Amino acid sequence: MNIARRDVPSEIPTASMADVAFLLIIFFLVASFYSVTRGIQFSLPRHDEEAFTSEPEAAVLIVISRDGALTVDGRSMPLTELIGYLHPRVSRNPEKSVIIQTSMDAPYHAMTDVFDELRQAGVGNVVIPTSAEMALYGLQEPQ
Amino acid sequence: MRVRRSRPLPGAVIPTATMADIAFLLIIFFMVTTAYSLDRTPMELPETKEQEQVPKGAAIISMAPDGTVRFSAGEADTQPVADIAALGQSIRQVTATNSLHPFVLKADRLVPYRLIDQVLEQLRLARAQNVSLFSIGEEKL
Repeated sequence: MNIARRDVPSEIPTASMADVAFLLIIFFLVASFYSVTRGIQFSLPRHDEEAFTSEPEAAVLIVISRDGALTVDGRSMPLTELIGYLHPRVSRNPEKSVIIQTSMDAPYHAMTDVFDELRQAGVGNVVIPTSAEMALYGLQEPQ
Repeated sequence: MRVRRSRPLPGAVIPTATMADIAFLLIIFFMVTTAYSLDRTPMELPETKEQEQVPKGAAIISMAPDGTVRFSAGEADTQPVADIAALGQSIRQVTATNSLHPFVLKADRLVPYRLIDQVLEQLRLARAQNVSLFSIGEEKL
């Protein structure tokens, strides 16, 4: 008995594969936008006795009060003027220490705002003493 | 004059096989570059103009606006810690094997600095050397 032979097209349908692939691409694209993977490099408070015991003019002292107001070397100063104040001092002495003392009741962003300005001014030697360190060196906690 | 078509026109087929190849190449790229966050606590991060890429696999210390502290050594999702002493112990477990292990502080912008100070003190005591602060990029003027 003769069986009629039918021609079956030998083609793999790949159109839907591209659809699935593009769906996955969109997923990974969106997922990559939502994951925060950037930040600011932070120098931990360290036992740098020189910074604490250095002469007053050798280090810049920034005090952040509970409402976020700044006092730089004993003078009240807005955040916008901080770079202008620090830049000539850091240019003269790139190793200049800058100490940030933050009030315990201040919001976290008050410290990061100042820290960000210091990084922009090119200050490499930032010292952020913890309350335990301040007590160790007899420094008063800012109000 | 009538022109007679001698042969039937071939079917109009768009070759889509290579499209899938390109798509899978892009998928692999995004799979490799996408870093999944180990902490999904909703919070408003502080804004900074200076930003650097935080290393992959960094240990995360998350501080929510209500003062809840969560910790992850960098492999699993963050878990709440009972108190600062327990956090210090977890940090020391990480730094005991590698003092250069990166740590990331993820804190809400309105968290009182007192809590940050306590966490920084624990990091200092554990001699952690590589610490970053998670932040949202702010446009440079």
